[in-house]
Amino acid sequence: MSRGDLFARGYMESAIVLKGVRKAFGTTQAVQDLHLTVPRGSLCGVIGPNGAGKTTTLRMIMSILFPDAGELSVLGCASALEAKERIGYLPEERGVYRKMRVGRFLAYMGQLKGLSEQAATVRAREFLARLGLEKNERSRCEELSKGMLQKVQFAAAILHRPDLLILDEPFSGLDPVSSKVLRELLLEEHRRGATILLSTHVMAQAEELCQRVVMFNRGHKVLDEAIATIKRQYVARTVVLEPLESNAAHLDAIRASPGVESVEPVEDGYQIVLGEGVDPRQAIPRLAAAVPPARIELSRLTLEDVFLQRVSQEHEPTPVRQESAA
Amino acid sequence: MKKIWLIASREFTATVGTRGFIIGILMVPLMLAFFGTVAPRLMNQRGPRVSGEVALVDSTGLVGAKLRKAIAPESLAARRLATVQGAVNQAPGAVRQLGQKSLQGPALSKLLGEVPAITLVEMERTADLQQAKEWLRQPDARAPRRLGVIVMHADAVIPTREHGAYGTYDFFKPSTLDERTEGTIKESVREAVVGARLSYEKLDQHDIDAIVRLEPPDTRVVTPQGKDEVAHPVLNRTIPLLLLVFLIMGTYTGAGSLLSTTVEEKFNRVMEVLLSAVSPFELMVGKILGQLAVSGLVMALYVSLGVLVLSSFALLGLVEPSLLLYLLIFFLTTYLIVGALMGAVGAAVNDLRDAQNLLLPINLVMMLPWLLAFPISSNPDSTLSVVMSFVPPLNGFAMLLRLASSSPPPAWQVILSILISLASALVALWFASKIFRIALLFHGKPPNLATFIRWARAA
Repeated sequence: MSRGDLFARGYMESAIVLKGVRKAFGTTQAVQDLHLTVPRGSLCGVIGPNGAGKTTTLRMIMSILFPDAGELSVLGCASALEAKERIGYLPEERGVYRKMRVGRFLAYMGQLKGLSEQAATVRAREFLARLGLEKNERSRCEELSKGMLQKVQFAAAILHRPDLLILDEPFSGLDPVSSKVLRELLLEEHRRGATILLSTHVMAQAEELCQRVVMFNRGHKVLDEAIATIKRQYVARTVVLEPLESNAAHLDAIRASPGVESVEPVEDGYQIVLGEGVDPRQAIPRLAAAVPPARIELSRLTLEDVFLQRVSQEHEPTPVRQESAA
Repeated sequence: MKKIWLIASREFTATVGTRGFIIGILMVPLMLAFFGTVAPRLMNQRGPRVSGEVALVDSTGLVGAKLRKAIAPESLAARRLATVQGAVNQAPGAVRQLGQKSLQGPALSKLLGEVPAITLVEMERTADLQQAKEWLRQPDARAPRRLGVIVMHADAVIPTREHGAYGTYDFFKPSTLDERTEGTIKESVREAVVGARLSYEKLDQHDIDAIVRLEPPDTRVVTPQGKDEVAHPVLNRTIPLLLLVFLIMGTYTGAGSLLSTTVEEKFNRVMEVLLSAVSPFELMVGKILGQLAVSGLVMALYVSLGVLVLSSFALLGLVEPSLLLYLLIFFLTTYLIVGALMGAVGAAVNDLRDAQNLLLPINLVMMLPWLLAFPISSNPDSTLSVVMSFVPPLNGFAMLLRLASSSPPPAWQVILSILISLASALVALWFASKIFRIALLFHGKPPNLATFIRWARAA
C-alpha cells in the first residue's frame, strides 16, 4: 500500500490499522481475519488467554513477523520497518546482552532507535535515576535481579520518547512495588501523547489501565470496545447475598424468587445469577424480602465475566495449537 | 546504514574484548614460541648416554678391525655431524647461517645427546649361532649392557664366484634396544663392511668418497625481468601453505564467532529486542561486518607477524605483494560465503548443540582445503587444481595455493575464480537473509536441511 493510499484512507489518523490480517504457522491459524484500528493517543489493551494470538499480532504490527494476508499500517507507514525509530517495543520474551553494562545497554538501544550517542547516554542516566537504578549503571546486566532488569528493559523501550509504545505483558513477574513504578511511567508516556498498545492475560490490569480493550480468543478478535461502553453493554447479573441467619429454607426461597436463573451456595451466603433481561433494581428488593440479608450487593462486572460471556456466545472455531513463535 | 554500523561495532567490541579472544589471538604466537624454544628441549635426543657391548661373529675375518674403528666415539661424532650438516645445507641462506653457528661447540651434543660408547666383543669366527644368541642374555645388572650380536655372512665382503653378489649379515638384538642405538650400530656396520670391501678391491675410500660426493647446486631463479635470484625450495613450498592457513584461520575466526554470537543472542532472547529497532537484514549485515572486522584484525596481526619474520631473515622478497592482495580478496569472499551460512545456521537453531547437524556439511567442505593443499601446491596445473579453482567456497583456497606456487595460473582463471566467489557470496547472503527473516524467533524442534530450504523459499 502506498503512502498516498494510506492518506486517502484516513489511516494517518490512526496509530495502527490492520485489515483482514492472517497469520498461520504451518497448519495452525494463529491470527484469523483480524481487523483492528488503534486511534492515536489511545491506551489500548490486548487481552485474552495464553495462545490467543496477542503476541503474534503485536509482532506483526512490529514487522518482526510478516502476515500471510491482509493490510497493515503503523503510524501512517505501510510497515513498522519505516517507523521503527518512532516505536517503543517491550517484547514478552525479554532479553539483554548479559555481559553488557546496564548504562551501555540502554545507550546502545537508544542509539539504535535514532538517538545520538550523547543524548542516549544522558537519557539512560536520567531513566536509571528515575527507576532508582543509578548505582547499577556500571553493573553488568547479568548482575541485576529479574525485577531490576525488567525496569531496565522498560526504560529501553521508552528511552527515545516514542510516538507508539507496544508492550507485551509488561507487568508479568513483577512485584507490586515495581509494577506500580512501571504503571506510573506508562501513564506518564500516555499523558505525553504516546499511543500505547499493551497486551496482558490479566484482564483486571487492562480494565484498570486501558481506555479501550481488544479481546482475542483462539486467533479471533471477540471484542473491540471502549471500557465504558463494555460496562454499559454488559450489565452485571450476579447478586451476592449474605443472610442474617443461617436457615436451610433460604435456598428454596431464593429459587422461588422471580427473575432468578440459578443459585449456588458460597462461603457465608449465596451467589445468585439473574435471568437475562431482569432488572437488578427490581430483583434485589425481592430477594431481600425473601431472605433478610446482612449484606446484599450486585457483583462488580469484570472483563473476565465479559470475556466468558463473549466466548460462550461465539461460534467455537476449530481448535488451534499455537506454535512457539505465536 | 548507521544502525548497521552500530550493530557491527558492538559485535566487534563484544568479540575482541573477551578473554577468550585475547587468549585465542595470542595462542598462535605462543605456540610458535613454544615450538621454537620449549619443544626442541622437550623433543631433543638427549638422554642418558648409551653404552654397552656389541658382539661380532665375523666369518670373513675382514670386518672386525674396521668395525672397531667405525664404532669409536670420534667416528660416531663425525658421522653425526656430517648428517646434520647435510640437512642444514638444504635450508635458505639466513637459516643456514644460523644452523651452522649452532652446530659449532657443544650445541650439537646438547641437541642430539652424547655420543654412544660402544665396545666391540669379537667372538670366535666359528661360534655357534645359538651360542651367539645366548650371549645376548644379560648376566647381571653390573655387567656392561649387551646391545646386539652381528653375524657376518661368509660372502659379506668377498662375493661368491657363482652369483657374484655380496652377502650381508644378521643382527640379533635384545627386546629393549631403542631404534636410535640400533641405527647407530647398523650404520657403523655398513661403514665397516663397505670399507672392508673397498680394501679387498684395493680401492681408496677417500677417492671413492670424493667421486660420489656432489655438493647441492646453488639453484637460482631467473625472473621474467631477467634477474636471477636464489631459489628457496623449502620456503616456496611453505609460503602457499602459510597463505592457506591464514585464509582458513581468518575465515573460521569470524564465521565461527558469528555462529556463536547469533546463537547466544537467540538463547538470551535479545533478538526480539533488537528486531524492534532494526530489520532482520540490517541485523544480519551488521553482524557479518562486525565479525569480518574481527577476522580482518586476526589476519592483519598474523600476516604482519609473518612479514616481520620474513624480513628479519631478509626473505621478504619471496612474497609477491600481489599475493597479499589476492589473500585479501579471497578472504573477503570466502568469509562472506561461510560467514553467511554460519550466521543462517545460528539464526535457525536454539543452541550450539542443535547446530551440529546443520554444520556437518559446512565443516566437511571446510576440511577439504587441508586435504587438497598438498596435491594442488605440488601440481598446480593438474585437472584437480584447475577444477577446484572454480568450485565455491573452495576456489579461494585452491586459487591462492596456485597463485603462490611456482606455476601461477593464467589471468583469466584468476578473474573467473574471483567472479565465481563474488557471485557465490551474494547467493549466500541472499539465502542467509531469508533465513534470518523467518527463523530468528523460531524456538522449537531444530530445523533440518529440508526445513532450511523451505524457509528460504517461503521468506
